[in-house]
Amino acid sequence: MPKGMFVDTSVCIGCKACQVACKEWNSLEGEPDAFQEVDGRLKAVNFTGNSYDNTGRLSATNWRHVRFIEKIAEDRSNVAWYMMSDSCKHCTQAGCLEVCPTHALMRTDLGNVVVQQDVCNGCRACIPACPYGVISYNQQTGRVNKCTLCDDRIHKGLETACAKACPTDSIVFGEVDELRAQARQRVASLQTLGYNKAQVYGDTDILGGLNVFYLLLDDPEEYGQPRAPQLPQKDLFAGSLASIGTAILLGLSALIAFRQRGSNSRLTS
Amino acid sequence: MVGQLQIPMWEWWIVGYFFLGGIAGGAYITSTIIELVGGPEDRPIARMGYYIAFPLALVCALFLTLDLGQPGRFWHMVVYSKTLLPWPKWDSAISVGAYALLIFGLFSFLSFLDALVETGRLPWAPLRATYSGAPRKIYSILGALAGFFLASYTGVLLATTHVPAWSTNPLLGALFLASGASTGMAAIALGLVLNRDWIGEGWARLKQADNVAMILEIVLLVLFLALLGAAAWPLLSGVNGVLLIGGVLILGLAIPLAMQFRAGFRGAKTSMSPTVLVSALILLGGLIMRVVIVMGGQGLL
Repeated sequence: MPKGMFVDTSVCIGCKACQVACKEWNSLEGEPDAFQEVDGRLKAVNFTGNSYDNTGRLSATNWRHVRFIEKIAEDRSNVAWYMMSDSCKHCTQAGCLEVCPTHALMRTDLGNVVVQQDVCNGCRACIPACPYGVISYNQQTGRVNKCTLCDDRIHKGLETACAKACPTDSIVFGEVDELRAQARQRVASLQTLGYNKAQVYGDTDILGGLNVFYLLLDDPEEYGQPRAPQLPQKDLFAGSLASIGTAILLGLSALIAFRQRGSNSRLTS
Repeated sequence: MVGQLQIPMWEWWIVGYFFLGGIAGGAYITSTIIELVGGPEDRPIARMGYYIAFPLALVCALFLTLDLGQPGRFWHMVVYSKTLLPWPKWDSAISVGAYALLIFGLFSFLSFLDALVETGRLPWAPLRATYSGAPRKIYSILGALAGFFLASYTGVLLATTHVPAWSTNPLLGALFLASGASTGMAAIALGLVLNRDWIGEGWARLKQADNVAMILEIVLLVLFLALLGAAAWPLLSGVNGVLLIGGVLILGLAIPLAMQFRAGFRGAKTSMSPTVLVSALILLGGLIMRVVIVMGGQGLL
């Protein structure tokens, strides 16, 4: 049975304990770009300037990113502050895994998708294949990195570091089927309380089901998530067909051009 | 970043690979067609295509390797490093493309050798005795199939991503193939002129085929941009737009086409300087197109 995580954004308080736990357990360095030397001292320069979110995005050393989404009305009469602990979704139909030419990206027996660092050659094909912008190139190692769902921990029967650290149980680790049932119950309960847009993001309707899925209080776009992502290979057949059609046209035109040469030669002779 | 998407940071090595791979594939396919239906007078054209294709295939492999984060692991593209066995992945354009480049390299090498033997540039007797007309046609056809793949899969590879400027419609593979054909034939023409290999009426045939490739390329480019809709904005705004419209559509396609049409659709015996100019413009247009699409699509220009 696949293991995964249910991330209930309605109880996330944005404490970033999950980010810290992820960094610590996986020995991830600080963001090199986030600091600059000013007057002989290192200073943080990673403030976005329009949000309390100072992580900004997932990267080779940020495998988890607590998104802060501040929705403030023009007249400032209404404020909604969403938080979402974002990471790799370990999609059932994973575009990254499909396009990887070296088989460095693989799915384990527990359903999580990992990068085999000893196989990856840094071709970076997986990066634009992910609709969530999860996979990142590591300039230091020349390979790609992403969340492994704490592959080492879960294969020893432990929960993920982020779920372990989450103080509000916004992140829950477990069997995906059980978590889905739990999520549906929670959505029903929130809708009863008036949260009409509460929804599960990542049920089986999206890429065959996301093993790390979310309860959102608003539209997915508000959280920076695509509504209906598809595998990047969706146009592989059409693209191949268009290329074959073009090849036939080009081939025929060249055949006609050079065959005339033969005909003329024969006529002359 | 494009929105929340991350970009692969494919830059000059990949631009160079896509451009030269297109030329190599286009030149080899042209040579194969001449091999199959052309007259003996067209042989210099076929040979020039072979002279171009194999060295460029080598350069392509080098560029592809240099772009990797781990260049020493280039062989992981075709062999699974844990079993040391080939393991192609049919859903992955880059995996199939790596095999295609390997196969193309092999057959283009055989054709390259054949051209050297035929012209006596490789005077080694045992080799000369080995080569005959029949196998030449067989490996040319196989090489042309790999060449077709090499010229077009790079576009399909970009189209099977989530980058909007590449993937909103599936025409990029077809566009790159048409461009590969036109630049491949332009490279052959340039090679012949610089080699002072005058081929008489063969020019007309080569130009006729090249004109069709350029017309098809214009149609595909316009269609590709039109079908992109709003996603075309990164390719058409600012310096990218100037390069794509001015550098590719006008300088690289419309002007060479007009110059060739002035000599009649099927071309005519032309003097050296216009041919050099026309070929250089077509090649420049092909290069600019890949620069704009690859780098502009990622917001790197």
